[in-house]
Amino acid sequence: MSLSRRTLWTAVASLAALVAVGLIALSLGAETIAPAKVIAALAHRIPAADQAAIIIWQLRLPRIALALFVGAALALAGAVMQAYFRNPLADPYILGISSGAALGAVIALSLNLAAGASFGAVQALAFVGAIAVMAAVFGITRATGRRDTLTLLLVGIALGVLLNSVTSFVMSRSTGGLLANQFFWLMGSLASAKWQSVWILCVVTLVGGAASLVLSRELDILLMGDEEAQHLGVSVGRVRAVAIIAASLLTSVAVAAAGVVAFIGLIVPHIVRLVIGPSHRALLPIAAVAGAAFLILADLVARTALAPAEIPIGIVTSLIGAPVFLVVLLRGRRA
Amino acid sequence: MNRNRTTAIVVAAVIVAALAVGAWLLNLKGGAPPTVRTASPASVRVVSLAPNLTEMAFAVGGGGDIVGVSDFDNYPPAVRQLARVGGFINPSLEKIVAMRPDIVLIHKGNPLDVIDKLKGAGIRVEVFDDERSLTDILTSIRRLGDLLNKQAEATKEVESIRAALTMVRVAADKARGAGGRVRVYFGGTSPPYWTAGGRTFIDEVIQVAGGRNVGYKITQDWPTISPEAIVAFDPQAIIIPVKDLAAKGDSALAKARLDISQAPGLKDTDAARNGRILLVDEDVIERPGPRIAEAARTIADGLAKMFGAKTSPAPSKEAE
Repeated sequence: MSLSRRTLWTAVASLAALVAVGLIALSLGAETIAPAKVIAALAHRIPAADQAAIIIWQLRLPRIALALFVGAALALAGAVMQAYFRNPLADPYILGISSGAALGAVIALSLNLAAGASFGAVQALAFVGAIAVMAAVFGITRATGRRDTLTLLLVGIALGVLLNSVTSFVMSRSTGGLLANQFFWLMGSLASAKWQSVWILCVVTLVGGAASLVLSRELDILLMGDEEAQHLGVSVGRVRAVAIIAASLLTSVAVAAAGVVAFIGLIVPHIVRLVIGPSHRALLPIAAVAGAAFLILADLVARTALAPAEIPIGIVTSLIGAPVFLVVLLRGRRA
Repeated sequence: MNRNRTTAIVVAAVIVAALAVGAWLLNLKGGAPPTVRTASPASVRVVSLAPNLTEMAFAVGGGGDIVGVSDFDNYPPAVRQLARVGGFINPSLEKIVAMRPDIVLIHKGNPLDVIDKLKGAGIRVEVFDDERSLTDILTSIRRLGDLLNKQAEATKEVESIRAALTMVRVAADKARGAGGRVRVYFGGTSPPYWTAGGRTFIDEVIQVAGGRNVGYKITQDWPTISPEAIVAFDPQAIIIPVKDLAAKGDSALAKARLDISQAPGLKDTDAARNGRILLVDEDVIERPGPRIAEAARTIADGLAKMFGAKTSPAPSKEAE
């Protein structure tokens, strides 16, 4: 089964877009640095204590790298979730993972926990919250005795609502700087990017991406329905378990590192599917690359549009994403 | 004689009964003892839904009129005895109405329907604009003086705040000598970093104290600021607002140091490298109230300690 010409072109185009967006993002920022100086800093030809070097190496590069992996992770998780639930409206946050992460982060901020070594206390607690919700959703679903996706979905939605209300309650008791911290975290930001968190995201995204790519044929078959898949020799239970755990882990690290970045996990796989079709072998890698490029672009807008002020990234992803999505829908209709 | 005695007993009984009925009636009318209503003809019952307005009321000597405050009120200590009526967004209207206030002090930021409902209940609602500048703060203090019939006290308070701010400004100018303003980062210690914009009273306070706020060019009141912009600005002092600072003491400073040492961008600034970190109580600096002069003094003293007196004026980019 060879890839279609259209798929190949899409792959090349999204890779080119990723490289282009990455280079632009590296040269633009709140602080204007001449391209020559950017290159000099990258080549270590200026002292590491120089402002330009600090900005490039400690702020801009890790931020672009983090955007790359968070965008890829969310797009991958979204693609897998959409196959898992056989529902194009599924997104990485559908099982309440973001609600758990949000509660963890808001509590960490309320308790004013000291920053940790690599992943700060806020990110750590957000990750714990995400994983705890994931475990609770699967555990409660299992306890109901029903294993269908609808039950899983309903449990996820119920837990999400519950946790959101607790988060809102905690925030309603906060004032001043604390409330600002919580509010801005909830809307997402890549400003906390450090190399350590980039490496964590890198490993998890590669492992999660590889796991879902290995399952790409099975995911295709799952789209036809569990029974049909079973008849075609797919061990449905195991494939489903691996897929949903991979997607949940990808979502958990992404949301812990960057907050609740809206919309990207829903629309990127969707747009890619509209362009190249539903085959996961092509869809997953291209969605990952497109998600990475999209989030780097969104973060570039977030940190430059109102510089030196920043716009929460979740707002930018929705602002850019929704119109793009609508355009793709309209063009797809004409075609 | 017998008749006289009987008359005396009857008169005494009537007086006692009248007193009892009167006391009962007064008691029925409200929980407050009658003396509160009669102490001063101008006294009013006030519910404050904003901590800064409460502080202002106390500062002009009208604290005795306050009968209820929001859940977030914590200063002066006397407010701890007062009844609570809920938060800003969701105060208990029933509780407020039951207090039969003459005036409810409220901020424009409170939801409109809260204001409308209180007005609908026939209560006089005094809506204050958000105080965005030092002048706004002084204007609100004067307005409270008018409302609480404490005009003279309000004038005195305004003058004393003005005098205190002037003293801080003069001393800071002198300490600075020929050097420029100290570049100051004010805000959170973990990303996304929020700070105070250039049109806020906090920006003004930092200026009075001899500093230049990292967000001075930003028009938004509470922006998130780019770590790149922080590095480029290269603050010489970091000022962190801390909730309940007095209760936390040294542990707050240790925590701020740890947080800043790991904060992307912020850790690579002149201030972080030299450990020039100053903690200010959040309510003192962020609340647009009568303690704002205290905030200016705290910052000015902190900066003076960091950079020494006028012998070594703070180096500044602008001066170069």
